[in-house]
Amino acid sequence: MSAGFVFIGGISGVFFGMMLIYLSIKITALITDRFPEGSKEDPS
Amino acid sequence: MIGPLSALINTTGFIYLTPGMIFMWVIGLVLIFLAIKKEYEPLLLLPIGFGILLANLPLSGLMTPEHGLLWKFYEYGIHWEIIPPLIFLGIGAFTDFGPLLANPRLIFLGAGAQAGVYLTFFAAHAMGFNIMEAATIGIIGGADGPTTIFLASKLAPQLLGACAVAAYSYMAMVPIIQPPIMRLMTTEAERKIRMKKGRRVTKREKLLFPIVSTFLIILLVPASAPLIAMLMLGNLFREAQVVERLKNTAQNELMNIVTIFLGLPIGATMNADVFLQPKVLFIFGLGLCAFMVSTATGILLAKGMNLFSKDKINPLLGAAGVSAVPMAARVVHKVGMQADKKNYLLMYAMGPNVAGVIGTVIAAGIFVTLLSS
Repeated sequence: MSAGFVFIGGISGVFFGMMLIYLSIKITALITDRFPEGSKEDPS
Repeated sequence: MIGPLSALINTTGFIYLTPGMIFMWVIGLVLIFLAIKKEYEPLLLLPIGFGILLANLPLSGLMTPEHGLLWKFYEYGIHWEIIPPLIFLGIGAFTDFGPLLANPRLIFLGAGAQAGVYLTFFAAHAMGFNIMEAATIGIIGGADGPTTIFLASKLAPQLLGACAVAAYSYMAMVPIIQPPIMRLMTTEAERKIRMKKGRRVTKREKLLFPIVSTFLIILLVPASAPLIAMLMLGNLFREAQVVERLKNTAQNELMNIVTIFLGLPIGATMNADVFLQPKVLFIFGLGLCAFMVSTATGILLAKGMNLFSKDKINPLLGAAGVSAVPMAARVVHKVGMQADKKNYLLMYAMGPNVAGVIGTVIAAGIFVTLLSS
């Protein structure tokens, strides 16, 4: 495994991971906005 | 008469002392002094310092494979990867991801600060360290002690002691190392930028976050599973609000116990033969560079994001992307207050700060994935 590959793969991997978490936060926020706690549509 | 006397003397450690061992005593005593007098990361530096003293007492046998007490702590605690994940359980129970959830875009600052890890990795490799050692040195830039130990034990156990001491030393020196870089890289006007208030975060979001992020991160980087799983389990204890006893145990008793069993064997890996080599100086130098570059890249990313963002980010927040929690966030707050006394950045800085913890774990997981195969 070359250092260049680890360097590029590592940085892009970290940003990709953070992007996934960012999207998951956004999606969770959308769901909780759509079904606020205590509402009649609350699926829980 | 002389024969038995000579045999008796041979059973003592005095005649086996070397100058290197005595030099290591000095290092151990300095760490103990810094821990007690200056309160630099005392929970870790104190047992590490004492471990160094023990490791450099001849004939003690404490690090003898299979039999030595400290060897058993090291083998079953660190080499078996039990203690760093348990530390993460406690960190998870302490961590409030609320500020991150309130301002999700700040998560990228936690990624930006990891650039220093990879730049230093590249530099260390160019300077002659093998690729495993270079990765272990680079991760010091994440300013995360347990992750550094986790990665070192997997990729370069021979560097464990030096890298752990470097990581914890630089974590303790965040208030000294970061402010000059922050001031150098930002203008007065930038430091005065006030952050827009984040949105309200519901209890349900806080509850869902550790579960969803566990799935995503482990699916993306399976090698990060031990640390992420424990971090998020600890956080679930906290947010569930129905397991107070478990949360309190993870935060207090368990954390304290594993801290003892973490520090001692790390110090004990630092015997004179292993530690007193020129490359240790390079490790400390490169580790410091990694930490400084991580601070700088976090700030640069915040500035870059401002080019495309309507709501400006105070670039100081980028410096909190290193994972020294909550020290880095406090430093950001302090430097921000020096520019504008009414600019309260602490809660905003906690977002990138906890993102930095996740980012460093992902970076370590990627190193393990790419290098240990």
